[in-house]
Amino acid sequence: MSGKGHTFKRGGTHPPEMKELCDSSSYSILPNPELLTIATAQHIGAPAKAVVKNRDELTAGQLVAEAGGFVSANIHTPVKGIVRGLDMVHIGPVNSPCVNVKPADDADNVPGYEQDAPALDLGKYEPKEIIDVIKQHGIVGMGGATFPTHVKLSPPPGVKMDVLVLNGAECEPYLTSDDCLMRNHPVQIIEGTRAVMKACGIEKAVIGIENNKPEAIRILKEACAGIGGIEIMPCVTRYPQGSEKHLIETTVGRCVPPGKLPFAVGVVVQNVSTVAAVYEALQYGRPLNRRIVSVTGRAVKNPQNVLAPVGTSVKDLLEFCGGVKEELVEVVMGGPMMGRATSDITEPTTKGTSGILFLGKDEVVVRDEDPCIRCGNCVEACPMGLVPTEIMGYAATERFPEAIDAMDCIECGTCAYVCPSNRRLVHWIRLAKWELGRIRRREQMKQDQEAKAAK
Amino acid sequence: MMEMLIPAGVMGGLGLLLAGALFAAAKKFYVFEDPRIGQVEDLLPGANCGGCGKAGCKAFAEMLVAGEDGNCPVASAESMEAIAEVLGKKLGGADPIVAHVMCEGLKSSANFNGLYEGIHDCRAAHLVGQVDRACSYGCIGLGSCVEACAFDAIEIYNGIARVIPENCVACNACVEMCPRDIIVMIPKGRQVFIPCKSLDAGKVVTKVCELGCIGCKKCVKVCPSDAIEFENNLARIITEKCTSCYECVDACPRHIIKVRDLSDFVVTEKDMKLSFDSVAAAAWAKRAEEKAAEEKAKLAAGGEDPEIAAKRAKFQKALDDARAKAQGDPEYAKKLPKIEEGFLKKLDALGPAPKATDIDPELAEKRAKIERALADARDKAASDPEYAKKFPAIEAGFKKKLAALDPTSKAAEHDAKEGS
Repeated sequence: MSGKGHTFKRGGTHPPEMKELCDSSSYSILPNPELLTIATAQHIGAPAKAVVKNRDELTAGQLVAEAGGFVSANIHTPVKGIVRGLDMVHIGPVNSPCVNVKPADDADNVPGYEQDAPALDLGKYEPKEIIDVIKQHGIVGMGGATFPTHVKLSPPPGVKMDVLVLNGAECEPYLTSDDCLMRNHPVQIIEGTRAVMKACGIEKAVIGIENNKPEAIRILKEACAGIGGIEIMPCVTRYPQGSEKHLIETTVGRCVPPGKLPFAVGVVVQNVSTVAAVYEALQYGRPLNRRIVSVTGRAVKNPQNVLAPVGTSVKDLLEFCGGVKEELVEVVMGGPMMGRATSDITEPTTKGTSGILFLGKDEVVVRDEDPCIRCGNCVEACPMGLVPTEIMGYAATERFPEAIDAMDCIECGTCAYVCPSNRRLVHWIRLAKWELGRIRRREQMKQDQEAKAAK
Repeated sequence: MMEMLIPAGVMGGLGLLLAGALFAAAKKFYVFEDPRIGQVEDLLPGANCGGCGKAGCKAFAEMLVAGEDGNCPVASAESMEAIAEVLGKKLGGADPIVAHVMCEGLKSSANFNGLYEGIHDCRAAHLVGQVDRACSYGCIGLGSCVEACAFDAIEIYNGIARVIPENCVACNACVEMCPRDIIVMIPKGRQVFIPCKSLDAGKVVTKVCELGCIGCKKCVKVCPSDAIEFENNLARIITEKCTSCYECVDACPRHIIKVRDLSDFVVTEKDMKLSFDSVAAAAWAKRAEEKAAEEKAKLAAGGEDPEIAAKRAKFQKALDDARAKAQGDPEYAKKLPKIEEGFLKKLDALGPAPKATDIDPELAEKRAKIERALADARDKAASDPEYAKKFPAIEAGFKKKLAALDPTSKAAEHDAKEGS
């Protein structure tokens, strides 16, 4: 834990930051790749439904798939091009239908963020209209969870929200994409924040940034000087500072009860990239179809932040960054703590891909699981106050109903990181979560059937 | 004396009193329980496996006695008969079912693209979408189903789960365990099915597995009974409609449609490679025979497209007419060679005329062989005087054989036999 300041109370750890690998002072724009694979299930909730046919010609920003329900999001093509087949794509465990778009020869690259972005004229929007624009432009949480933003901003009736928390903590090692955006485009973030505040009728916003990003803190502080209601709060560099619940605890001092959403304590949390996307949608009518991706790790030749269209394959990004310079051991989508290893380099990026790590052999430790030595490190480190080893024990012996604590786990990976026996604690807990979900679904199905039979 | 009798009397009296109270209570609070429940429960295996869908054997027995129908997947046929007798019912003709793994992407046929280092459990591997095998729908092969099976009816063979049908009691445990829903219950007995669950497009399937359905729809087109449904790049055979005509087995360009007798069939790697087993092989042989017979019939009937035959007849007739005309007309005779050439060219273009024959190709082959041998013998006789002496006898033998092969002269054959 570096220095004193605002932070959360329980657990946590401080892994090596490794952020120096990927320079956050600037980013490059990716030239259009040969083919974009745009998954229709790249957000939480129902997959979007494709609205284009094979060989359709698309203009940049055209809708290719529309939301398949309330908790779902529209999806737009980033570039002008032609549809080259509707297929299936595999993003980790998700088998998603996808739209393949071949960019036209004369298609422009995705536009960069504007340097001299004007302030928003918020007077002309009703709060409802802002949420509607967010919904139309397919904006989802860009921190990684990809929860549709319009749903997050529409609380159930009777809930009063009074604080907007902006997540600029970026506590995952290696990743610098949010830092890059904050340093280069503070206006987009501040103006987007004001728009979201207006949409929710909130007067106060706090931007939480870990104190290992002094430049971003300085630039944002300068940018919001003279704008009321927005506070920049440097936080201690400590993992998982960027977890929604821990950031609320740090910045507002409220504790979200187990199983509840931040609504319950009157807070709404947004990632800084998400509010920048809100600004772009309002100011330029631009849908969320591109994002800054940190391409980093010791195995890649020129680690850097790349503004890439959604649907770019891992391979294209790797080639753009100069390819591999040493033996590539593992490719991780997302950060090293919560990210997911992939073996398929044709896998496309999504709206939630904040980074891709190409890890060399000195960065990856492959060791078998040793027996638990009951040292209690995981219990001390768990920021949610759980007993990871106990949950793992239940999961390993198929006693899933007793592993109900798993539902409170945020899968931050701290327990597995501190475990001296290299136990796959998070993996076991995820398995328990999944099985609990399956058990619940089966019970639901049984009840439905019985209800049907009773009729 | 009295010291002993008093306690004995007191205890005896107390005993009688309490016995009476118990007797009265038993009469007063008597609850009737169908004795058949106990009997049925005794006949059931008592494994409490839940395969019938009830909480245990007792619950199942209660259900049966209450008059509902059900099936215990574990009980043998004899004990089910005994239960039916207790209940005064007849055994229904429910088809026995068996679990089957709808993926045959063995290590030898499915490609690998990564190294999975996580928990040794299919569900966990599926959760992170990171398995050794490249197919996102196929068997993961870490054996969670094997652990779930209480009857040793499933094993991992060469990296893939396979069911041992004689042990399988259809308790559904493996079906519920499999995170990719690859294991399904299908009726025992002969089945035609497509062991693939991949919803990927054909080009992806060809990349990741040799034995995957590429969604070409050929089987759907050839099926005469509409028994193959096609959805999301995957063909599926509807068991109830399938008439086992094996048209799809023939038509599948990847040879993945299987015919199996699942009552006693065990898959081996060889089967997987050849893509059909002995049952299928027999079916194939039968079909090949039928096809050969069809060809033969066609050959006997002239073996030619009637259209081409008609054209040929037309040209031949015109040529004959022209020749006949030339004989009577000297002027025309001068032009004849050119006309003849034209017609002959046209005839050539139609290809050689088929020999109108009903000779069995096998017999023809035999005859050719004998004729070759005869010619060899004749050559030898010409150069070798010793051999020439023997030659007439040898020639006669060959000729006899040839006569026997001639189907038109059954009589000759008969004579030859009589003669010898």
